[in-house]
Amino acid sequence: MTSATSESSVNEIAALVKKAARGAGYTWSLADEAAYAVAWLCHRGLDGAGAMASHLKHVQGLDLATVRLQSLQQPWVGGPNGLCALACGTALTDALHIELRDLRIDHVISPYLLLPFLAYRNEQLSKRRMRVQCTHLLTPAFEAELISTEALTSVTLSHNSSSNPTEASTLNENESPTANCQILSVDSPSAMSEQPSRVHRTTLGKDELDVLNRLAAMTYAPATEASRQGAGAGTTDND
Amino acid sequence: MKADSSKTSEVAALLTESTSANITYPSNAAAVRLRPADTVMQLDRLGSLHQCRLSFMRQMTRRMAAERWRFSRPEFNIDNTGVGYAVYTAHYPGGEASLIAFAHDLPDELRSDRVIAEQWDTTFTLFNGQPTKEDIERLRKNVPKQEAGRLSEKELTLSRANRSVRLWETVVAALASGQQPDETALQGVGYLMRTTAVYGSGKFGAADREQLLAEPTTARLFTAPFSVEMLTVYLIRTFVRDLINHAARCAGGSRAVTLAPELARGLGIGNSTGLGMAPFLINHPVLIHNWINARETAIARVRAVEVVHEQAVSMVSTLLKNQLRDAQHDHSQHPIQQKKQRALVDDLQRLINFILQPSSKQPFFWNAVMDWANDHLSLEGQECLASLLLEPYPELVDDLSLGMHDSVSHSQRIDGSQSVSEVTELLKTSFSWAQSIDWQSEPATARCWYVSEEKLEPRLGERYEEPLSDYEQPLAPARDAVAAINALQNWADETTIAEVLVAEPQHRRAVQRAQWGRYAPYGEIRSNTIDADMMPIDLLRAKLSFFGATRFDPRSDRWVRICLYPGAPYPEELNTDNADRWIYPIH
Repeated sequence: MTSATSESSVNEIAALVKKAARGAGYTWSLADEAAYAVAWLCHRGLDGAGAMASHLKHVQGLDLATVRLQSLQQPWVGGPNGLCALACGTALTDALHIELRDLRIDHVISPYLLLPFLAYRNEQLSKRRMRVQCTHLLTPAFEAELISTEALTSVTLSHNSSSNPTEASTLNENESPTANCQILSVDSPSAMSEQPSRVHRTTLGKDELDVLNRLAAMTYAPATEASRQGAGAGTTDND
Repeated sequence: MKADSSKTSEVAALLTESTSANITYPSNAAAVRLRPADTVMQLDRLGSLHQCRLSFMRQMTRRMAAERWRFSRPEFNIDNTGVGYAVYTAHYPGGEASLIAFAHDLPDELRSDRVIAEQWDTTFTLFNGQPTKEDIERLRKNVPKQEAGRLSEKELTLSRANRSVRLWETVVAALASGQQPDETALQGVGYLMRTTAVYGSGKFGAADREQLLAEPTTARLFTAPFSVEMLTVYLIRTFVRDLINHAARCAGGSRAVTLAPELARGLGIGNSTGLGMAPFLINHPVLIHNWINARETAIARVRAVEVVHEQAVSMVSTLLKNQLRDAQHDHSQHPIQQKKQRALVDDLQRLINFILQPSSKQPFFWNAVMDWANDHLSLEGQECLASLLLEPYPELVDDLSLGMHDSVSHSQRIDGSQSVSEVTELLKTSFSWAQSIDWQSEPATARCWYVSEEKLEPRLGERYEEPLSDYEQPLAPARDAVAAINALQNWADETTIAEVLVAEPQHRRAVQRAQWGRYAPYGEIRSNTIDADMMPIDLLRAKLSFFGATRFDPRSDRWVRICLYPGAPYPEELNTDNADRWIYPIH
């Protein structure tokens, strides 16, 4: 981050993200999921708040119905606006009963935000090593290996150009910052590594914080005569 | 009164397991019959709850005494004008926590007990450990600003309090002149200072609750809900007593006397609570289940006591008389509370007569009393009785405090494999009563919970009079559950809910709450939280009763004053003999 940063508690940022996601147009329920995802990432020392700020800034103003998953049937392919990572993520954990072996999600917006949901799925189903490969289009590419919700063995972010230049070259800067995401199960059971301790603090750049605060403010109702009367104390509240 | 033998045998015969979402209690502990959630979770009953052995303040004082906590006051740097800071440290087994109190010179015209005020007489933080000079300097720049300041992971709470205008100056003047203040006046108010907020977990940069629970020492201490807040208020009360003695010494010099211990002990810390607290009960269904379930299990265990000893009857009788005197001296000015209090006085008088009858020697006497109360008393009387009946039985009740936190809901996600028919059943388990409400009618949806831009606090507005619906907070689970039930009728019974939620994600929250209901049946309020006649103070009262609050004094239908820790021993007095039933005032 280039701008000034501030330190926050993870709960504080998760609460802000919930409001910001609602402000960006998600239902309160998906806003809860956004907070869940950010807390999960932050607890593992990852930049969940920054990733969510970018995501919300991107989807704000979109008709979110156009980036929803339309069906659990594979393949999961987004339309012109891409597929929302939160919608895909919640579907991944809702549909634990459906085998989604070697799932490929094409054109997913903010694939980084899939990680908390993939980790949950993997822990519930197999605790086997899962490899997530995201080939970038405009967002940073990354690879992650997950064992369980607690053990994220590696996340490799790459800010380099796409491993698939052909795909990248079809995009221009006005298009969605989406990626193609391949989720691979690796058959060998993982050796359970020691549970890493959680991180309870997170830093956030001023720009990202401004984005979240601005979107959160969209959930606040303009003052009315009734609201100015306060929480019900009446005219005198001093004794 | 003759016992209903069919009911008593039913209790004796029933052996069911009771669970909080965290812990399964052994079924052999007692024969248990729990009151159904459809009864207990009605809002008017929740608005009649009383403190009990499981209340968080009482858990805290019992623990401090049992573990022989030591308390010290390493710093008290308050000048003659009442400005400065003080540090109070609680030394618990394996660690320390310190209240850092800042005292300010607040002009009278700026004193307000509204949460949205910007200056206060005193401001506080609870610090994890003992603060260094650098910590205090950092906090001096931030704590007085409250919401506008920043805390670090070393801080656990943030709070503030104002002097009681009715009492402070007159008490200082009396003590300064060498006189004790008028006891009746002290009792009439009940506190020298009143907090307007005690913020906990992660707020304004403070440590997250999860961080405390990750450390074995603090996890052991602070797993119980609101325990850091309860410790904060306990230490604030000690500081306030010391501050008024200091003020009297500054004003009166050698003539001044300190506040007599018996007078000081009767004083608590006031608290003003408005709508900001109201959404909590709706937003934390699993936690609320664990609170209610603990109390209901305790009640059921006591009802299942077959042989009720004379000492137990005597104790309950004494406490009923004590509560009666307290209720007769109720100081509330508000018609809502006055009406409830009148009913309570009448109930308590009838209960005292009922309990003293010879029938107390019958088997399962408490069960008979509860059944009689259910048929003859107001909700206030019923719930006051239920709480008092727990007093003689610490061995049946106190272990339930271990299951009152929520350690599961953050990790419980939707089970998408459930079928439409299964989820519909779950929705109806908590909300079948709501299906008969006409959700198209204005009275049923008259209210709208929202957060105001101006104050950033929860508010309750009139949906059809103000443009608020676009800003509605998700605090009407009954309406949303019925909408989900109706939507699911359009899907085949065997369809999985995962498929439904891809197409209709707007019902996701209702589905999740319904599934939580499988292990948190007391999690959902069985009343319409947006009805035109809904009383927000019922939500406040329910939560505050679990804190252990007393002296409920509503200022309107959505704002209430209470008292915390009146009667409690101060740190230097605390021992295992006085750590528990201090909450019942001695008349």
